[in-house]
Amino acid sequence: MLTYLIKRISTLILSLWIISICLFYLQKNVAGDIVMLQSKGRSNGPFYVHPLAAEKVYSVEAIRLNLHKPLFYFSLKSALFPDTFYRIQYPEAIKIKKDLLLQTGNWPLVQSYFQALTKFYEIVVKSENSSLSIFWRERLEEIALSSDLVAIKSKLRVSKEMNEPFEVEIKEMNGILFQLSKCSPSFLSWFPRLHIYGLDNQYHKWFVKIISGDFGTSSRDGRLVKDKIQEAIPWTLWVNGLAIGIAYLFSFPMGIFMALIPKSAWTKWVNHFLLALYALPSFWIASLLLFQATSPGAGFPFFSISGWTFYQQNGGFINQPISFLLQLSLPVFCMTYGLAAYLTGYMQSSFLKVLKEPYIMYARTKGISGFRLYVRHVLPNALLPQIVFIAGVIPALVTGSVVIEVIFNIPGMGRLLIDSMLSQDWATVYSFVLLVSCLTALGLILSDILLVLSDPRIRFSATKNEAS
Amino acid sequence: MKIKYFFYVMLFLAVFGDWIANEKPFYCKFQGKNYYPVIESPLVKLGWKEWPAAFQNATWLELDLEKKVNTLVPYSPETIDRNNLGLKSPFDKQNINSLWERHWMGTDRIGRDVLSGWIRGCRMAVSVGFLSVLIAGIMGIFWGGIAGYFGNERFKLSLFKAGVLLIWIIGMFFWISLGFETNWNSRSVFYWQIIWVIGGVCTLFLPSWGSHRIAIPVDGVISLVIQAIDAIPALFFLLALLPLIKNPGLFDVVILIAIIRWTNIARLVRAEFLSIRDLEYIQAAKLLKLNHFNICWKHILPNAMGSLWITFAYSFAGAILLEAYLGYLGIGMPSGTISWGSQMQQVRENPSAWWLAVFPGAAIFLSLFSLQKMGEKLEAKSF
Repeated sequence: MLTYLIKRISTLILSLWIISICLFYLQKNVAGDIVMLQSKGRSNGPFYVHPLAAEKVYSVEAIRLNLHKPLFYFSLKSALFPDTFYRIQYPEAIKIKKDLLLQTGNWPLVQSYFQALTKFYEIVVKSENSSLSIFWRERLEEIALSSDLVAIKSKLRVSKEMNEPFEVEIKEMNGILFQLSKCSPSFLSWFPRLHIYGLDNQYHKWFVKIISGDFGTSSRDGRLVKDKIQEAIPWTLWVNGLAIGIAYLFSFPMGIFMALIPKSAWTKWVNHFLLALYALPSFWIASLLLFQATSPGAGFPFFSISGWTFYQQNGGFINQPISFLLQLSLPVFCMTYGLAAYLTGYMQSSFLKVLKEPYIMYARTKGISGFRLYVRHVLPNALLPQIVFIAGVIPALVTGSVVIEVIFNIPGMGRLLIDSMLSQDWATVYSFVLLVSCLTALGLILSDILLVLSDPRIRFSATKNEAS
Repeated sequence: MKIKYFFYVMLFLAVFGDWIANEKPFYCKFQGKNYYPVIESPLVKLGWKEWPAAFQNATWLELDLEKKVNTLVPYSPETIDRNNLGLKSPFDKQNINSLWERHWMGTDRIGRDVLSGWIRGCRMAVSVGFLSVLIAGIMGIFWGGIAGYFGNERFKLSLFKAGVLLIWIIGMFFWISLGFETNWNSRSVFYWQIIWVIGGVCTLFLPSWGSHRIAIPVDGVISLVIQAIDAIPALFFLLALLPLIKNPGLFDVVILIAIIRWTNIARLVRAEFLSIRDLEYIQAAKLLKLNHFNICWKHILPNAMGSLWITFAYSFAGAILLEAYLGYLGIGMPSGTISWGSQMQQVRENPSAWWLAVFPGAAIFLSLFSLQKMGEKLEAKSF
């Protein structure tokens, strides 16, 4: 049994690790230009300047953000690419250099081309003739953003008076371009090569940070993501905890009651009603309630849509328990009815299923009846499938109320998620998603352990599976 | 009345919505000539036919037609009725010429007819539900079937072939990604890809060197992926993946919902295949030397289909709900898209417009309810 559990837990941890890799790559691909985003608020960030000058400023910022490291423990790239290609940071430069490399397949030559280009630009900047300098600056920008060798060559061909002061540089460039145009990647150089970078990579750094509880800073307001989550989580726990708790408290006795009373047209209608309740979308009911709450003349005296900050500042449950719970009542109601209906139906059907089992018949023939039969023999077996729900309850405590929170304006996790998504604050979004998947895994482990402990049949079959 | 009829109504409206709610009339007479605009407009869109110039310059409401027979709802979902701007309630006095033009479900802030949008919503819900269930079903049956049929022990390869297979898969990933990197216009990359595919096929016919055969844990790998996807709640998964797509449209949302939903189907298919694969008639089929594909497709899958339909019904409902959530939150769909969710979204800005909440919400409820009822019926039938 222990080996079964260890096996389960290790696969769960493995799947969490896979999720973390996927989320890291998502974050990298979705986030846009982090350097630009981060430096937007600060005055010394790289504004739009000449691409040849911007690269330097950009890479300083990128190194500060640890972006100059390889992405992952290893990479599989064509042998065309040098193993230090990841060090290039500026997006334009990456694009152009990659294009040139794929065309020519000669990295040293591409590098020397860019060195010559940068040198040329620096000399142009220093030159005193202003009209000449402006002309060449524009020309060099066009050249630096182009990867078409023929076009570059034609752009270097200018009238004599413009050409004369920089004759040496242009000659050098033309020489390199001539060499480049003769190169082409050999057939074998496309074959992949494995580069191993070791632990000093971006993913590893990010993962270690997440493990140690540092989720980074939000790109929206510069606050720690951890603080934001800590602030939001009590609200979500209140809403979901109350909803799930009430749903269970209601559905258990109700389900058992429904199972025990004789079947009639009435029970059929109740079951029908329960299914309808389950299908009733909570965000619809929520917006109808909100319509009632905000329309003038109607409204609920105990609920105010902007009341959340009041309770946030004044201590919530501890100081005004009754009015606080009343304030929560509408969102909690919206979340409760569907769950309660579902659980009632589930409890009822599992109770009925157990009642049909042969061992209950046997217990009846032995003379056990009434209360003792139901409590001792039926209930424990009917509760057994409910353990599986524990796996769902733990993540649902945090995630169950996204839309409800958005509708009722509750400053909880769901609204935090949607707000961060809309303002492209990916650090918050993805660390939240990772947190939720950890909670799900935790729930699965917990329900597994409980199932194995409570049901000897599962314990036995788990051991048997190991043997086979 | 049985609730499942709502589902059929929804299907009908999804297919024939344009014939019921359209700003174009069914029949009109213009300058002495007869036109059937509703029926002809698809032909015009395809370029097989052309409207007269007068039709193109004016909107259909303004055109001065000699005779016309309107559709049941004389508005398209996108039609802006300038006379009834700014949230006209169904019971308000509306600025209309005849009862035919009445907005039976009111209008929204910019004067679009809610009933017409509601009918378009049926199409959105049905197409998202149907396509996502179709794609998720294909993915789920394929992967779940492989996992259940072979399990961890029955897919055996010689050590050599297993190694070649692994290298081949990694290489294929690499070549395809390189293809994207070079915009598919590098000739040598193309040759490499062809060499790789042909080489892969050739290795199938190689003799298996070495007598030692190892079992590939197909089930373990697929279950791991399913577990990883299931660890993230559906809405979260959708919200985490959506930003990856630059301008998401209907089909992107469908694919994402399918990626989320296929695990449910795959788990069920896996369990069914696991229990069916050892039945006697399958062993008989194996003795008859049927190949694996035939056994799975013709003998196991039809037997597993009974319980699959139930999941399809529930997945359909789940997809409709997810699509409504996305529309309601205003994430994912292009801004002009009209669906039940996006109609309800407008209530958040105008809380007093109850008709924008009641009608689409009722439609979502009824569609979910009817699908759930159908699922329950199927469940009762099969057990």
